[in-house]
Amino acid sequence: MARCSTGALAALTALLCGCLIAQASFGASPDIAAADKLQLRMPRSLGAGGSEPAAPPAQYAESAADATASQLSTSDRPNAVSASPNPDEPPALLAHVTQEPPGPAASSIWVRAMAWLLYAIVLLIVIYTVRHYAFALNRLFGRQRQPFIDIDVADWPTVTVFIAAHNEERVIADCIGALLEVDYPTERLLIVPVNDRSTDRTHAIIEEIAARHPRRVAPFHRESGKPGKAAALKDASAGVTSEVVLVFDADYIPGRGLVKQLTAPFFDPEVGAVMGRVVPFNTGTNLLTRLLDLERSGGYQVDQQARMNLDLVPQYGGTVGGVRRSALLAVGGWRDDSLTEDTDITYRLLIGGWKTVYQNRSECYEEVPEDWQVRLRQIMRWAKGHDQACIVHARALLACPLLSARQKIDGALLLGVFLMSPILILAWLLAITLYFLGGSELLGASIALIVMASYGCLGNFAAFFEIAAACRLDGTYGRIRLLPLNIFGFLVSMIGITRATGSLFMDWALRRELIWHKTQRYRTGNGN
Amino acid sequence: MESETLWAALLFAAFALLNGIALLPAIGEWRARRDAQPLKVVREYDGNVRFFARSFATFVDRQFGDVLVQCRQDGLARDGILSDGQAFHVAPASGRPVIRQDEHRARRVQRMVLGCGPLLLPDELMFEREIYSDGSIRGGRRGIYRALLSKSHIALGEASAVLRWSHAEGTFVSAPASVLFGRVSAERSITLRARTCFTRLHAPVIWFGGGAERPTRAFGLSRLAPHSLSGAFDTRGGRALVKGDIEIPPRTRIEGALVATGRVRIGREAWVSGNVKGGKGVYVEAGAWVDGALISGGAAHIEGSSWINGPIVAERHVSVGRNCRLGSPDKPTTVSAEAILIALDVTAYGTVWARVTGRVGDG
Repeated sequence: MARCSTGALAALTALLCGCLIAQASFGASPDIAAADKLQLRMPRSLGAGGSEPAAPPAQYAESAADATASQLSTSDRPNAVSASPNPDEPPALLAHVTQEPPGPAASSIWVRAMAWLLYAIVLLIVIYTVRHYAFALNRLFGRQRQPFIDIDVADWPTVTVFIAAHNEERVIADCIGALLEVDYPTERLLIVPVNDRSTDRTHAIIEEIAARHPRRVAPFHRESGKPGKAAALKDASAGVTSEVVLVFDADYIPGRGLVKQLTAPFFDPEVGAVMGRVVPFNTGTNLLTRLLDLERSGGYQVDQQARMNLDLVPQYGGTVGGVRRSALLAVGGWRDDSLTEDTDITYRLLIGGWKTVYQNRSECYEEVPEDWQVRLRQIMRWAKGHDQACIVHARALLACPLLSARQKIDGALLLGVFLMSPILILAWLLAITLYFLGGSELLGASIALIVMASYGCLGNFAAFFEIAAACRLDGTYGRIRLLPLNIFGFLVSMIGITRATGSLFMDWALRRELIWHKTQRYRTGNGN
Repeated sequence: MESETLWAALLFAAFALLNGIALLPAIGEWRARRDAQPLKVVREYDGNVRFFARSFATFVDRQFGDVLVQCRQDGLARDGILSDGQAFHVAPASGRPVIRQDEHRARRVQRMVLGCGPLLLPDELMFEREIYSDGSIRGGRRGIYRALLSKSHIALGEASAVLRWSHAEGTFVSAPASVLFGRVSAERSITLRARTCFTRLHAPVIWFGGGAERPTRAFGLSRLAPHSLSGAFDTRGGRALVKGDIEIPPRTRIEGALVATGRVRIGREAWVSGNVKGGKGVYVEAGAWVDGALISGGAAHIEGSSWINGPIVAERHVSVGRNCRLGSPDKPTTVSAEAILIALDVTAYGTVWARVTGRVGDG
């Protein structure tokens, strides 16, 4: 029974997810499927349970032998054992698999070890799945927290807005223009375009605007130094004296109230960072942008806000957000060796006793990748940086005395989220290997759970539920129909993330320096 | 072998068909692009309390500019219907709108009411559309209004209700036992009498009852360093983080931001120069001063004659005792919580925003 579930459901998963490895493995053995069909009728106690191989009872074995013997021959299946003419003996194929254990005790230990590893992965996947459901249900039915969004009048702190810009001639003017129009005391707001080694007209455009607004725009041009946003921000921060530092990417177009909204949480002395919601504006370009729009909705509207509601670990996202300068300095400032400075700073602040606040209503448009290669590069950078943060901060996070158990668990799960793709692939390989090594008896009926949970982790049930909940909260019902296609986006991400994880370990082994890749822009300027 | 292949092919075909059917709506939406627009982010919306009032003022200027000019010239009442079918009535020079018999009987007026001078609204009527006046608006007893916009002052009669919003270019005064849903704003001041319920208020100064006397700061306070607080965990980054509760003794001065993962209690006549956060609640004893924000993860209780100069944010509720001052004329501030209970004789400068309900006490 269990073996049958293994074969059928794993094959189903392989087909559903387009996993070529799994397809190849299962496609090679139609005979096993036939044997499995026969085993489907076996009493459960015989198919699953103990570690000792179980022979089918005679009444089933007979028909099994008939069925398999008619299909098998030593010529076309060299590895198979010929069917036995004796009806009392188990069918040939079952004999191969179950009556001849794969090896001595040592191999049995390996099988058991793999099975337990698979169990552990299943547990992990189930935890993530439950987490996704809990977040979505919280957003739909729970108490919503936006404690600072109502602060509209106050003695506002001084703010510096960094606009990270590397070859942003298409978009930089729009971003600075929008910031010049925001509703914030002008004498307390300084706009600093951080031009990081641009080779296009970015430098000239920034200077042109700064000349028109000399007291409000103070450009920072960086001609050399370590590449990457974190390195650029680190250099630019040296001259900053304001209490709050907000960071925007050059492709963002902030609304009038955004700076006040993002600054308001800093009246809470426990808040070290704040994050707003990014909304793709090039949604309609192609299927990829539409899928990314769904993904972003789920990520911000549901995931981030639920973590805020539940007092867990909302994440500072690097843009449409900001940090308290004193908190930043207290935890060591920007790190230029980090590929994802946002994750890195979130965890350093968290461990240092500073909270990150997510404000779902502080929305800002951004551009999402329009072709799969750019998307792949983006997700690989995120994965690499995130995994890097995981290595650096996991231990300190779990040991932090200021955090509750819930925050530690959520923080750890968030840190490990990009490790799940390679782990999931490992789970598939383990499931397939165990199936062929006869380890499925060890797995029992839980194999169904493995498959369901694996599929869920890829983004269908749990993550898809988050996306659907997000669409409902946003009131955009038409785009929910695209949900099944998101599986392709998740698959691409899975491949990219797995590659990035491998590359990170190679970098570490070969002591290679991590390289920051900028995400390509598509806008042509003037808000187009 | 052949039948096996056939079954496998059939299985695959059935599987592909079932999945194909599931994908049909997705493919349809992908090709038809019915919902491919980006989510709407209103860039011009800055959260300003006057947002609706400004939009309505623009609408009135555009639709009724000429009508109001004529009204000022001849002082006659006018009725009409806009292109969208909305009926309107312009009150005569007396300022008393002409209410029809059927409206009196039904106790509801479905026309938009406009006045080119002061408007005097009758008692116990429900105005289901907006009311606009170039002059002041004086409401009758038990009046119910959807929205009010006055270029001058607004004064509501006893036990009146505003359902959406109200804005006065001058002052706004509510009589006792009124209910103010939505936004109430005034360019000069708002006065709320006893037992008035409210949600969002904004004005340079808001008086609850008669307003507070100016509190005086105590002298001869003993100083306390933030790092010497019991349980201080971390004092980097310009704040003292305490794992557990913070208790500031009476008549003590402490400089710097304070964060307690538990509760914060600020003693009588103590003075804190900095923002204060209590993860589980904040209690401010009588006569205390806080030169900064008061943030509470639970409730915030502020006893009488205290002065909080920064924003007050509580995730549960806020109660403010008699004779407190919240903010100052040169540093207006925001009070925000799910529920806010404010005693009489309190003065707030800026915004008071109760997300669920706010109430002015009666004694």
